[in-house]
Amino acid sequence: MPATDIVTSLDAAHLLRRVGFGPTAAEIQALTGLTRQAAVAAVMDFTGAPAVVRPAVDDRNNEWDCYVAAQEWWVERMRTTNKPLQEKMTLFWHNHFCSSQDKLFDMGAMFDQNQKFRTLGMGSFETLCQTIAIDPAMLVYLDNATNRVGAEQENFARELMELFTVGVGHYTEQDVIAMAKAWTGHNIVGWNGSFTDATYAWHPERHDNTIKTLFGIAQNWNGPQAITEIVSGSKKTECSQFIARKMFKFFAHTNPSDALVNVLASAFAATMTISDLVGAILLHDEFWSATSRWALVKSPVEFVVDVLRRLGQPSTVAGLPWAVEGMGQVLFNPPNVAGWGQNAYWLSTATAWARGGWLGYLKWQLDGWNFWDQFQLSGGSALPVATAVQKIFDDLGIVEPSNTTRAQLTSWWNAEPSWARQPNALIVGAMCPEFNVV
Amino acid sequence: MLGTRNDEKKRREFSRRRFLQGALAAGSAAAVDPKFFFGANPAFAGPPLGPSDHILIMIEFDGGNDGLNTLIPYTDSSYYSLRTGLAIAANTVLPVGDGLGLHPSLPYVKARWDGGDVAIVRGVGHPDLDHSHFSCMAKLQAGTAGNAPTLTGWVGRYLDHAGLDGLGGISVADGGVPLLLRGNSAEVTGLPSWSGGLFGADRTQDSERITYESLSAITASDGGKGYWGGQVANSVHSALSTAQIVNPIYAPAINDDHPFERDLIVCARLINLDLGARVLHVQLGGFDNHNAQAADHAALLSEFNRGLDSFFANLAPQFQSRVTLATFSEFGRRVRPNDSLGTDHGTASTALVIGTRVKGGFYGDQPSLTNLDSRGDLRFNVDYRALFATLVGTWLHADDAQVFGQSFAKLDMFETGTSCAGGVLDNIPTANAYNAVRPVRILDTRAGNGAPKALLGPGGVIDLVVAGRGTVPVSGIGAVVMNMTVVDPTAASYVTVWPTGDPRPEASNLNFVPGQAVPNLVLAKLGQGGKVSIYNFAGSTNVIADVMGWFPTTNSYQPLTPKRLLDTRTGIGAPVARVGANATLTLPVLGRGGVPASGVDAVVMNVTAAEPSAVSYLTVWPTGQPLPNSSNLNLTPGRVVPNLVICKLGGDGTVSLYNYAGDTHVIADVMGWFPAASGFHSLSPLRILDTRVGIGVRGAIATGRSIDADGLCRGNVPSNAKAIVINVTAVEPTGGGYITVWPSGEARPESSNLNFVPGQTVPNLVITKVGIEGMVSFYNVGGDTHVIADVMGWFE
Repeated sequence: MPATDIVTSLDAAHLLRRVGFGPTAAEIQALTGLTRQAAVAAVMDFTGAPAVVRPAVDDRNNEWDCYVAAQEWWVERMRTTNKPLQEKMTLFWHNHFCSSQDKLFDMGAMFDQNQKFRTLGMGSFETLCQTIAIDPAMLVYLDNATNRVGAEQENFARELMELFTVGVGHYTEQDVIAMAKAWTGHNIVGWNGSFTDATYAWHPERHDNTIKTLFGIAQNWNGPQAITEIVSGSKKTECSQFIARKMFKFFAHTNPSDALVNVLASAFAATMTISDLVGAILLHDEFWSATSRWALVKSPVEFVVDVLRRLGQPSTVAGLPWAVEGMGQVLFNPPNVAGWGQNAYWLSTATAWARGGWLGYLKWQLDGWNFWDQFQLSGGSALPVATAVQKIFDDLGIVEPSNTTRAQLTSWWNAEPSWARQPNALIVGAMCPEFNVV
Repeated sequence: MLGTRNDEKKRREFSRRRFLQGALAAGSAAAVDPKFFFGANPAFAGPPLGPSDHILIMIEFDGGNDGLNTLIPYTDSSYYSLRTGLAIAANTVLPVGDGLGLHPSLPYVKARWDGGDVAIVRGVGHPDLDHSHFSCMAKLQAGTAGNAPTLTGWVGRYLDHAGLDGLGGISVADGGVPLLLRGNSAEVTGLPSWSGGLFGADRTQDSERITYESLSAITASDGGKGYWGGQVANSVHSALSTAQIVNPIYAPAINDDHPFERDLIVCARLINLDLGARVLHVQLGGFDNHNAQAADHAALLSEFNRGLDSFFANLAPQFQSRVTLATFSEFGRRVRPNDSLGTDHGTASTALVIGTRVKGGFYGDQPSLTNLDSRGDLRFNVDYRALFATLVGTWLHADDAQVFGQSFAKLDMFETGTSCAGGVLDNIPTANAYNAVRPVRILDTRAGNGAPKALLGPGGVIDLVVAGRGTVPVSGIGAVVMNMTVVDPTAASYVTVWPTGDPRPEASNLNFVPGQAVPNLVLAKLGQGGKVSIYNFAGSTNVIADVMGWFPTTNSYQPLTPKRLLDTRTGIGAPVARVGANATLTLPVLGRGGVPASGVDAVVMNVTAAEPSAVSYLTVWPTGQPLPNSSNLNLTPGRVVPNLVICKLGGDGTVSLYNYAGDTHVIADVMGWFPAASGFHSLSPLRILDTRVGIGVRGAIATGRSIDADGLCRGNVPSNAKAIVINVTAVEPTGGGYITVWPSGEARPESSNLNFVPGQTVPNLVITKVGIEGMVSFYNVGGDTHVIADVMGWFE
């Protein structure tokens, strides 16, 4: 092995930040010294992931509580799992095949969909795509629940191509019409003017059995055939490129070249198995290069989970969802079918206020519990200043603080009244630029 | 239960569906990078609103608003045959003409439409509406067509172009800045909806202050984490500075039950602080009504209506004429409902543009319901970009072609004083009828200005030099226009002004009681030495004179030595009798008091009400014309009230005087006359301002504040008028004070036009130039007061 393939501690931290939610020193240590292949294989191996215990999401008379329970459950799983990439992949697909509790008002269905992302998220892309196409939450969210012959509903048909598989420019308006017809009859059990039972139901009598021209091919298309055509037929190249580009941006950096995307897409297209694409990305030199380091802004979910991990506090202290929504990301409630963006998308004065405000809320919460005396962040307000500042970096997992930040934190520690050092260390530390990029 | 979609929490969640970068990022390059300000001044407040600056609020209807159920073609039978199950009943719409009606949830919009403040843009769309929320909204926000990804929005490019930063461009909502506001260099601000979101604002405790200051110092650099580390630092740093600046807008707390209304109140308060806000963005989401549309859509429009109403109620009067709000939505809905009693994505829609300076009316054509496109969608006829270019070019005074990369034919939808009463003066050579000057105080006995520093005693006379004073020329002057005020008189008395050297006439210009400050406009002929003489009857008083303009000697105002034409106490001009309630007195003018027997267009008189028995008003108007809805004098029992009146003569050479209530004596002294073709045009009075009801501006003017009113377009005055004659009335002032009237955009003069005491309703005639964009400014000091202004005429 060339020396460059050996993972340093900084490399390990980089990999773990991208596939997880704020690595601990022990987790970094465990990968340091391995080859990239071994390190990537380790993070991609989900053997031994904690079992999924369904949270209280099925009380149809109290959807708000279900919504909160699901968020607390998922954030807690992100915080505690030993297989964080499984949750990162779930988050990726949640943000790709978007559905929203905001429209559904059926948290059970939202959770079921989420669990499909978790179990299918590294497998066959076609299986995932076919499964989600007839997933009840998706059927309701993009209105295919009411798509039937003579009363076509093209919402899902359009987004299937625009956002889920090939992207704008690779289909025509005629394709949208044909695709909508192809998906007629793929509805739910209980639709009679309002939703009563969102279970998927195939209604052949509602299907348009005419010859439809999709992607230039005239036949009696049915929805699942169209997905097969995209994933393994005439649109396979576009589809593999579309997914490869998006996933590279999720894991590495937001500006991949077309050539790089094509390389990754080729690797993906060989099997259309998602883990092959993830592996190709994580093992590509570009992922480990300086271009990718610190190239992503920590998303609100990553920020929240990371802080909770550093504090050793459960998700129930986080005030989900209302205390975090100002940051711009609430799980199970993406802003629209295109999902959340990246980097600049997370940055504004308003989102900075929300991040700081949430830290203040946590401080207030934990103050009430007489928490700070045991708080690991400082170890005590009487520490020598240099020790205290280094401890703040260590406890927040800041591995490469700048000299400027260190000097300013030193001044802060000296100026701050001693009683306020421990609680405010969280705020001043977690709002540093070093803590907010990954 | 499934399908319950109207509760407030859900609507609030929907309202956050506002991000677009994700949609753009699909298949395109990296998101837009805000610029760094490291090393630059991070103070985010901008300059105060300049005299020609305007504010734009873009209201994003997210999800695709149904234009066809916003502006309803309720007289078109095709609408009812096509919109089965979702048509709005004809007897519930709010009719706006052309066979169209607003949705019944829009009563405030209808009221503003009735006031001429709403432009309805029909059939608005875009050449590339492809039914996708994301690409349509992205294209509208980018202001582009075609498939090339655009990483900036047209508002952002405007902000770049205008060099605006920080609070110059603001999105009020929780989280994120939309594509619309993103420029290549402009750094814009996203404001939260509540004060608790203002991290860094409260620095009352040392421990917090030290933490925030340290964090500001830390985030002045990128933490060694490259570009995105710098961007994170930038956002935290600016958040900490901005928090302190904008903190006041969140007090008192705003009711959170109606988030859109709350966001617009935040906008109003932000504008009121005058921190440099120029373009603001708010969002109302949830218009993607694929299912059970009727109730959801009605509720959304109701939220919109409510928000607008509250916005104007919260906006300070001085900004009322400075703000325009415009709606946009990614597309309209398909004409035929779908199977779910909803509508699918369509194309053309309806946009609303609302503001005091908007020329109310329809723009664009109502799309045909029988000539739909192949998808069953409406055909658009106004490109959204033409509307946006109008907002940028006409309203924001920017180079819209540069902002949009091409020129669009703009919509003529703003009263910005260039073409409002178009063509009236096209073939009339500009006469030198009146020369308005910047008001200058040429007499103030309190200060020794123009006369010794001494009270004018009983029977005393001041000979005041006028020619050559201030901005008045030395010669060529027929008459001057002055606003004269007595201050702190010691006795009930009157003041007479006449040409020096002539005998003092039996007439009065000001009447007053002890302690009262009383102004009146005086049109005075100059006598020997370019002087006027000023006489005080009884007691002692200070006298102030502000010169406002002058008339040339020929072909213009013909001043006379004042002569009493009417005194109902003594039987001059009419029998000895009080003028009763709802009674009209006809006063002959032609051939009397020096007024010639022919060739007279209008007469200038000082009219005084004496011993009125009730609260009332007097209106003076040309005999034979309908009684106008305006007033010249406001009467209070027991007070003597004068005002200058310029009135066109009726066909029989008389003017009419109407008394509203009680009874009163009336006195009229003629001061001069205007010949036909003098360049003076008298008008049947038109109300351009009434802050009590929201004509022009809504809400009393607070002390120390100024407002602007549209003198030209609202008054139906041509744009090249040199000056307008307005009767200004202060109504129900809460304290004693005065009002200054001057051309908008010029420095406020140190003069007064109107003095008032608490609770008293006081009018005065004002002749003023119009300023920038045809606007006239009103400044109030002393107490909060409502103001009414009626345009009486104008000078070429």
